[in-house]
Amino acid sequence: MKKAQSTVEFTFAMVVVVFLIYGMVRVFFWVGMDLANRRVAQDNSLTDGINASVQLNPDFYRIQSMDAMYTGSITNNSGTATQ
Amino acid sequence: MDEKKAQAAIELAVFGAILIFILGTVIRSAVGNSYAQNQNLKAMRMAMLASWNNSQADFNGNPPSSGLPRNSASILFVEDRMSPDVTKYGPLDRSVEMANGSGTFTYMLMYPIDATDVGSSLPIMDVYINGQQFPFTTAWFEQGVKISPTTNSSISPTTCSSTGGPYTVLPLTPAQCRQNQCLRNAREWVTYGGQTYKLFYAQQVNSTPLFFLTPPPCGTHNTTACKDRELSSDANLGGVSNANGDLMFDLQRNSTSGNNLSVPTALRPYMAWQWSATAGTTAAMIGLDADNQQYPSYDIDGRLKEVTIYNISSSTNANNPYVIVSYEDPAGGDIDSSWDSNSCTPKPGLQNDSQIYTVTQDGTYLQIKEGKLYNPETDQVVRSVNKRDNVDLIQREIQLSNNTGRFCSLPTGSQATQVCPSGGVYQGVTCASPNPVEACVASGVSASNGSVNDCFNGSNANGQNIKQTCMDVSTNMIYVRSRLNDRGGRFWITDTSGQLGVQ
Repeated sequence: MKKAQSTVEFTFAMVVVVFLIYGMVRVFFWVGMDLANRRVAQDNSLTDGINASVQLNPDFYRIQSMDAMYTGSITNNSGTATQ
Repeated sequence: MDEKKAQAAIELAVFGAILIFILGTVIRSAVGNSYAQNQNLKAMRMAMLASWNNSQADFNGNPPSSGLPRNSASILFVEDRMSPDVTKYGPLDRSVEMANGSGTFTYMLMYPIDATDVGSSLPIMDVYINGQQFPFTTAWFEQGVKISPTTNSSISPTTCSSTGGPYTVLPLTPAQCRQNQCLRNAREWVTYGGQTYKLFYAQQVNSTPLFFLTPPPCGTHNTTACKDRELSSDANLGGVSNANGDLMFDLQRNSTSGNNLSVPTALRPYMAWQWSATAGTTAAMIGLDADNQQYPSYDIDGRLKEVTIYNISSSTNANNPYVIVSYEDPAGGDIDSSWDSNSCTPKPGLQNDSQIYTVTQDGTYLQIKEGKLYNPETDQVVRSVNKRDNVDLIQREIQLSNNTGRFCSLPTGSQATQVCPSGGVYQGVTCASPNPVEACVASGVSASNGSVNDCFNGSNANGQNIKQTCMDVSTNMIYVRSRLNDRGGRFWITDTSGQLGVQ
């Protein structure tokens, strides 16, 4: 009766572990990319060369989407939210 | 084997929980870093933008009519952001995010500010607390202030206490501090050759030509030759002689004949600075040259703080000596930018105390609904509803150094203090723009009906004081009340086809 128990449990555990690893990768990706992209957006906007009011727009960046789960209507399917 | 049933599942549960906890910690930390980076960049941009907007010259190259208060702009952000959390109602905790930035555009950096400009170009720092902007001046322009030894000064305090002081044991109470200032201001007059004049003090740093270890002689007082050398060997103030340099090294200017508080002679070569004094009589005597934009700085009123002088006139008649000065005072604005232990006012700025009140009644709520609720019209089954709709009232305190009248008027006579209308002029003072103060009170002053009125009790046309951003002019304290509405939640719906969906 219990011969395949470890196999079943291992399979089940690995499936869950894969999800966890996927989530972890997405989190670490988001952590780095959000900080880095904001800095890139900052540098790009400062060197736009149009005029100071455009270059210094305080709302120059939209927060990076984590994309770790289904994007529902709560974000209007855009996956982004203003910060 | 029986003891090891579902061992892998249990281990997975344990280690999975640890992993999820770590992931949650990483996310919370990352969101905090994201907020901090966002605010740092935003503060810098807003400061530079404010400087840029404020430093645009007109077609004639003149500064804008509004002056140059933000030529060098400074921004301070304080925001209470939601902190990611997994709780019954979703994130409820708030964490404080604080950042400051400064920026200077050079268009008007070298513009010479003279007596006609200084009043409209007083420096302003902007503090943003949860979206409320407080433009605080960090200096003030005093025009035509008369100082005389008979009434001591038109500068507060106008009269010294008949007894008491000078006080030398630190820390001083505000009253002791003001008494010391008054005593200095009253005694620092000298008479030579039938002329009496006020001494203006300046700090001379070691190794400058005016730094003396022995008192300089000064045979012809009140002349250009004696400028900056009025603390000469024959000076005597309050019974203290400067024959040995005691006045120059009396750093608190408290010495009397009974208490010599001057730096001991042996230590004077190791001091970094000493006082020098000049006659506060004419522009030439104090080095004021408006044509060449030379505006000197002196301590003129015994506060041990220097001010920048823009105009001076005086009478040296020994029977009625006085001096009238117009000056920019870094200690006279909403926030004393020169505050130190010699100041007679409380430490200005944002205080450590803050309180959060969460209000969830009268239409606001934290609500959970669970279970099956079949609606035959929509063919939907609501499984779980989780809502929050609450208001966080967050109180912070900002201690001002002075009530300049830009936020609340001073109560005069029977007239109560009132909110200065944003951008307008009230009682001769240009109000702060914007002015986020909603209620003004003078605690300790009984209302005509005997009711208590302070920033926690009483009300005005806008509502109860406790809910409003309120300034108490008796203590010069602004109670900042941020009202943050927090609405959110989730609900899960199962339709009749049995498929789970999220809306």
